[in-house]
Parts: sequence; structure tokens; C-alpha cells
Amino acid sequence: MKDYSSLNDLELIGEARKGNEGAFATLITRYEQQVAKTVLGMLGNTPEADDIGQETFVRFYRSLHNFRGDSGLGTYLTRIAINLSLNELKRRKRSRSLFFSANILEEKEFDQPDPEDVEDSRDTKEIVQKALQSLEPKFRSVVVLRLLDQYSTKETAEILDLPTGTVLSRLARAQTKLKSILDKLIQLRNGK
Amino acid sequence: MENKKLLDLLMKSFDEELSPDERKQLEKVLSESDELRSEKKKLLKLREVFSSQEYRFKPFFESRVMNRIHKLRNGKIIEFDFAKNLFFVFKRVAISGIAAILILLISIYISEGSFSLDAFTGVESFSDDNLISYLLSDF
Repeated sequence: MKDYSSLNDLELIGEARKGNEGAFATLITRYEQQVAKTVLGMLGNTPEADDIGQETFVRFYRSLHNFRGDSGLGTYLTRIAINLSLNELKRRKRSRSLFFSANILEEKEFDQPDPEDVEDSRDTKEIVQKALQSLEPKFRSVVVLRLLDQYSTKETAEILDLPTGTVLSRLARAQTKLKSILDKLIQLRNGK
Repeated sequence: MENKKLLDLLMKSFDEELSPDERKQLEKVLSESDELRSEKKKLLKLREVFSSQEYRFKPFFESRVMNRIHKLRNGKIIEFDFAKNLFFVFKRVAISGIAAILILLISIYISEGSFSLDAFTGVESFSDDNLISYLLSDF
């Protein structure tokens, strides 16, 4: 099989458009981790997260001929991944609302992680994940893009289609909360 | 934190360029306040922890995606795009319906010469009297 790793993104897209599967597979390998950061950051390590990750690349494959390269491929994939993740979170909320009453599902900006879950957290990754999952999706998406994916504030605003001011205020509120959650988590872990 | 405004300024400094005045103010407070310095340290640690996280899907992710694409290409996934199909069917029914209504209107106009309610119901030839006798007649 031909080695495509030396080609840049646009060259690989050109090859993939001609039906060259090896070129598309190279793009998947190249961006798998970036998409994983976004999707797993948003959804946690769940079975649906893998499915959403796959769907991100399938959507890209189906729109290969529409990709104009205005933004980088990483940003394009992140935009698909974050939108699919937000839709999945909405779907989860809808399906939970079928089983629980509305006041239980009252919109919360932040949830406190379950202390028993926290005590089971063995490493930083798990602690970070639990802290992230305690944020409401609109705050989580900003944290994932800015702090995990390392996009600039402006890029984060563009991806989420929000004003930069909104991104900054959500980020500030989320960080304050994360700081206190992580403090508690680390104290709990150290005290064990 | 006593002064929330200063904490906000500190957070802002991580995400966007501060004005010269803001920068000067922040530097001054940072040099004087142990509390704010400690907050800065915590925020930097928080950001460092997040940025150093590595995430990966389960092994053979690329193969799973390619399998889905193969199925898609071979037509094994029959996508039932309900909204799209509904719109397609509706479009056909709507066009036929509009055509039928137009034909009906034209034929009424040709035969009755107007679009009055009577022309539509076909009862303009009945007067009140013959309508009563019509209704009371014994069939």
C-alpha cells in the first residue's frame, strides 16, 4: 500500500476525492487524536463517544467535495465533532426526561461530582474527566475547545458561532467552578 | 477572593491581550498580593493539567471508520432521511392538488360564469320557496 504520510492535508483530500481510500485513512490517523480530544472531552469515555468520533469522519467523507479549505481541516473536523457531541448531549437529556420529572432535570450550570465516584478516581485524567462532565454543555464546550484543544478565544468563538465576549465570560465562570471542583477532588484523593 | 474584579482581570490575561493600564494594574496587585499570586498559580496549574491530557479512541478506530465508509459506499446503509422523503412526497402531492384545484376552478367559471358561493355549491337556481318544497317532498 502506498505511503501517504508525506502528503499535506489538501493533497490527501485531492487523492481521497479521486476515490483513494488510503489517502482518506491517512487523514483519519492524522486527526484521530484531535477529534478524540473534542468528543471524549464532551461526552466522557462512553460507547457513544466512539460512535460520534466515527460519524465525524463519515460526515467529512460525505462532504469531501464541498470542503473548500477556508479553515484548516482540524478546525473543520472539530466543528463537526463539537456539533455532533452537543446534539448527543441534547438527545441524552431528552431521553432522560422521559424517565425523570422536570424538576429533577432542572437546568444546572454545574453539578457536583458524586464523592463516591471521586474516591474511585485513580488518576488525573479521571479527575479531569469527572470535573469536565460536571459542567453544563455550553460551558463544557468552551473549556474543551480552549483548554483541551488549545484553540484561541477567537477560534473558539468562530467554531461555536458565539461572540468572543460570551466565550470569555463562559470560560471565566467555568474555570472558577473547575478550580473549586478540582481542589475538592485533589483533597479527597490526597486524604484517602 | 476579596476583589472579584482583579480575579476577572487575571483570568482575562490568560485569554486576551490586556490594555497597558490593565496590565500595569495587574502587575502591581500581583506583586503586592499573595492571595492573587496563589490564584494565578492555581489557574496556571489548571490550564496545564487540561492541556496535557491525551485522549484516544479504542484501538483500530481508523478501520472502524473505513468499514462504515465501505458500507456507505456499497449502499448497505439505507439512510432513511424521513424529513427529506416527506418533503419529496409532499411536493408531488401538493403539485397534483394545486393542479386539480385549478382545473376545478376553471370548469366552475366556464359553466357558471362566476366564483360566487352559489356557483360553487350549485344551488343558485333554488329560491327559498322551491327549496322548502324540495326538502319537504316525499321521495
